[in-house]
Amino acid sequence: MITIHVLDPTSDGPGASHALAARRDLRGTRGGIRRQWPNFDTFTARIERRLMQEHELQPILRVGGTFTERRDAKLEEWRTFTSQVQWAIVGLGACWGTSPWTVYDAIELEEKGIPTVSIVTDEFAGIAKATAAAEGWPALKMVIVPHPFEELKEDAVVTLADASYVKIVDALAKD
Amino acid sequence: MTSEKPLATSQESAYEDLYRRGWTDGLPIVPPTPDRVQAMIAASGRPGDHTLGFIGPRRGRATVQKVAVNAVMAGCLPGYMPVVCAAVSAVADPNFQLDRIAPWTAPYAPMIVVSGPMTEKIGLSSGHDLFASGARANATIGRALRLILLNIGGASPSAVSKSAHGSPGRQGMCFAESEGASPWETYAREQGTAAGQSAVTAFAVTGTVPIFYRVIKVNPEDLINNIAACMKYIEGYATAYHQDGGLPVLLLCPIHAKIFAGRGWDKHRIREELFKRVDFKPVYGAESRINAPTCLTGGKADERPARLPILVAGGIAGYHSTFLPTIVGVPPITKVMP
Repeated sequence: MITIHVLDPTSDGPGASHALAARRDLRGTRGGIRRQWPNFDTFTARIERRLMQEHELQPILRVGGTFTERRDAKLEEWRTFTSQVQWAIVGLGACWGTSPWTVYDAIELEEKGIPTVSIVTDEFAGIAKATAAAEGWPALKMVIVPHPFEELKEDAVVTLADASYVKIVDALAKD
Repeated sequence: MTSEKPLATSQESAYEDLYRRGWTDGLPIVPPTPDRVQAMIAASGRPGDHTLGFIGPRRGRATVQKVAVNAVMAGCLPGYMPVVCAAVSAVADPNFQLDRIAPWTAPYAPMIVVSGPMTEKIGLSSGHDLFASGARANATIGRALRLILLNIGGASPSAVSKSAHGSPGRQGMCFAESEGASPWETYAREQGTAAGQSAVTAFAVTGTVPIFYRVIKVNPEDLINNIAACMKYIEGYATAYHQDGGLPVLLLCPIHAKIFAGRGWDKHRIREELFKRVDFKPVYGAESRINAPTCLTGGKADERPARLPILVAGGIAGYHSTFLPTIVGVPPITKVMP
């Protein structure tokens, strides 16, 4: 066979890599949770309960994401949230839209110096990571949960929250 | 990580080698040798390092050289490069929102519609079977765009692209809008392009709905009722806000267009009559999207019908038109060719 040479058809993304916010001990801090969908509320309520028990936190704030509605009162509510929390859990990235927007909101928090962990389902981890890399935040912290998350029964969500708890705390508190 | 160093392979094993790297759509490719790529770049009329845009979700830089590599692989002739480059510029437009729609679970596919003298120059078909087989320009330009979304945009199936079923249109959808057989001006002309100017328009379509109408005594009233009934079909689509939020395309075959034109109906009249018959109301969805001025449901009511894209293309043998729903909030993007 005669050797031929071919060119690479692929192209890299922007290649920028921003540093994450410095992690710190959560004890005594005020954190926040970005809400999305009922099972995620169950999941984060379980996480919140353990966090409060183990880290003597100030009351945790909750806010809706800005997906498709980044304006007016919703944006104002989001901005207030970002000015009040010292760390955040954002989610749930579980579809074509919520996954990139979970990442966009997580990046906004990290830019403000707020340690953040994104919760994303395994089916959409690829687009979440691609979005983070394209935005210049390839090291964005994520905890992956099974898809379809919203189809899980409540006891399964609680079990999953318990299994994810240490990963979430580590993502928020450890560099 | 992209490599600028040519990879060694052979004519016989290039397909397997590139397939294993995840660089193909599964079909055989033309090996992108440096000389073939150079011919493609030369035909574009631009330097190889010229950036046409950034392709999401990876936001990979679409240089003319990278676009040329993919065009060679797809089987394009060098003369197709101006159309491929214009198509890339269209889908790279931020308003086309590739970042957002690449992972979409719906069967979205970009459809490239071309008008102007370039279509005849490269043999881009506006006739029979324009979506599918037979015309090299139609088949390979659409395929080149698919490879570009994969290799430059990073929309790899399964890992990133999450369409449940995909669509046959994802292999490529590119055709010429009929100018000789159409009684009206092209969609691109309606968007303000000049006479004699070649242009492409990208639509984010989710499928094709066939429209068939033929009776012994044809008349516009029965035809418009038939078209409206077919357009109502997607009211049953569970995510029907696709219809409301996007700008669904009515692709008329030349015979249907002539039935309308023969009785004095123009595109404006067709749109007005369709809006009387089809309730383009929001079924559900985010208000910000369905109220956008690029949607059929947004802005002032009397301004909405003018937004409905009506194209004319297809074979002259049959009485078959096509309705193509599109993705919510993604407007058609028109780019002229230099």
